[in-house]
Amino acid sequence: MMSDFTKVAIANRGEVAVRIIRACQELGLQTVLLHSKADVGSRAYRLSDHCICIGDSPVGESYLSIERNIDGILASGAEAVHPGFGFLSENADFARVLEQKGITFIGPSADVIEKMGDKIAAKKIIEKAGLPTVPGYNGDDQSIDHLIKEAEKIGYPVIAKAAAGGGGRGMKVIENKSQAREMIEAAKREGQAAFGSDKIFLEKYLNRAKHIEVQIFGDLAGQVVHLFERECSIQRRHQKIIEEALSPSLDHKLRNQLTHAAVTLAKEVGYVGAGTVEFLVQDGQFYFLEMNTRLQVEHPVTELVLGVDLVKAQVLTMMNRFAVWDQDILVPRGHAIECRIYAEDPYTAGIPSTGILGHQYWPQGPGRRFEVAFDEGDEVTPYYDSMIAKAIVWDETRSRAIMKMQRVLSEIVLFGVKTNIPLLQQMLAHPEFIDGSFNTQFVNSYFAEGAIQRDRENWKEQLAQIAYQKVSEAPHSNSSSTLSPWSQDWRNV
Amino acid sequence: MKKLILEIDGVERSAWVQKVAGILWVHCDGGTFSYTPPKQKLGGSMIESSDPSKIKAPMPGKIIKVNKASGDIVKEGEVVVVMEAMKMEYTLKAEAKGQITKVYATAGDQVTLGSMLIELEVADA
Repeated sequence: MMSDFTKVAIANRGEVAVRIIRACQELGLQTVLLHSKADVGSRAYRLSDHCICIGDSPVGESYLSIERNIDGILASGAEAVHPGFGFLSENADFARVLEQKGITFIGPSADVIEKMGDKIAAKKIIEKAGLPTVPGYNGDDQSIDHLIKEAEKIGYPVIAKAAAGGGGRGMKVIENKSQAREMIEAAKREGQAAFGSDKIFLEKYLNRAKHIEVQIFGDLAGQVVHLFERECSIQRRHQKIIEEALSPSLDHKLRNQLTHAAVTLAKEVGYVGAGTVEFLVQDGQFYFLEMNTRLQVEHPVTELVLGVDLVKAQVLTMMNRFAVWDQDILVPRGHAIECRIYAEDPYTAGIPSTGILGHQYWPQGPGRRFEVAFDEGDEVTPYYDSMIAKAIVWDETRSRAIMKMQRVLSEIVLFGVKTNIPLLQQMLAHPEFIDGSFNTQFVNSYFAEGAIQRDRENWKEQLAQIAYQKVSEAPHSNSSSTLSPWSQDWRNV
Repeated sequence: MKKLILEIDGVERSAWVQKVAGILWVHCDGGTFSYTPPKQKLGGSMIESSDPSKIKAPMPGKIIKVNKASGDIVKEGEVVVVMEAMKMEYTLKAEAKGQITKVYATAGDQVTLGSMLIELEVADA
């Protein structure tokens, strides 16, 4: 299962593929990117030592296909594979095939993924360990009529979730009886489309809870430590938007309870590598939500407050060259915030924006970190998730970190697609964000239709008109070129 | 990409500008916006202000479900079409009460931004 290796395949794309490639290269390992046709135009493709195209752009023909990924890994000669997050990262069948082929999966064993990936089985384990869960229905009778009956028994609002799900797909909130059928059907369809299973479960929807998760890490010797918590309550349709470490609202006692519960669960299942135990916290009570058996999108905020590298730790663990940090030396310092940058219209409820990317400027500086998927000239396509980058800041206090993030967001230049930056700026300025009292209803309550649009000042309109003329008149702007038509417009200005 | 310094109404303003695919992108005063000269603002690239008799695709994506057929009566706020883009589902609702006159969308179709999906005759309030 574990062994020394020199070549690592990356079964993912976007900014996380870049993150993994860099970690491997810094460790002296060769990388092989397993990519789709569309992603030839991406930063990961340019950075990786080797690249293998495993299929067409739709995810079913590339990133979600176990067969194509396995073929690519075998053809590349990679001895290990890092799955990143999403796609096949929590697919037990994928991990199992790799085990059979003698290839190291950088993550927990197929058995552990299976146990925790089936959210119903995971819930049973956590109940056995004596930890609280949210009231709900997780039975085998999956007929719509029965599910509606169970939803009524639990009492609205109820949330329907794909049993094999995660990351917001296949999750629907049912506010009242009249929505039940539509929402249950939608959850089943999304579950089928995203994970290949339409099995769902129902839960009481906690309507003013905070989403707080604990990062844990286990090594091959069976030691497990926690790396404190992240607060991820700023979510829209269960997709996180802003995350931070630590949570601004946990007291010492509750923090101890949460971290203890997370470590107990990880030890119970013999967890190896990086994992996250998610909780909902409301009125001083906490409830187990799910365990993610992989790296999280928001792992950088933990890395910044603790001074660790979770991706390298994952890789070294599977090489049997890593023993977990002593719990005592894991002392958080300062505060970190991550903003996910989505290619979307910020003045809507999240309508994606696609297109060719123009100039980018990421304002580097102390305590500023950027995880970026694309370069100028690349295209943001409708095939994948709309997250195209992440901005992460660290500072000594939370209020300074918020100020730094505001400054960073105002400086970022990203041309060619619309982004949610105006929405992020308004969220960070909201009194509930600043005082830390926000909960998972924050987006729904204040930004359900996106950012508040203000009229553009007159001078900006004038500036744009003049600039348009000037740019269009620039030398060479009409010169013939072998480049595609869009590129000649900006290439020479 | 180009940095411009311009005087507008007696005030010096600076901006980063670049034309990408015929659209001008501007970064100034801590924010980014795009600009298309008025003559180029044609249907297709911009969603026209909401005409409740036409339900169009607000994004490129796939039609998952069409709830209504021609001749059906819809209430305001009723879900008529379910779309999927970037792996998320979006519901499109009727913005006014009325009767459906034509259905262009079929489940499984891949549609572009602004594609006509459903037309309806808006009932008088």
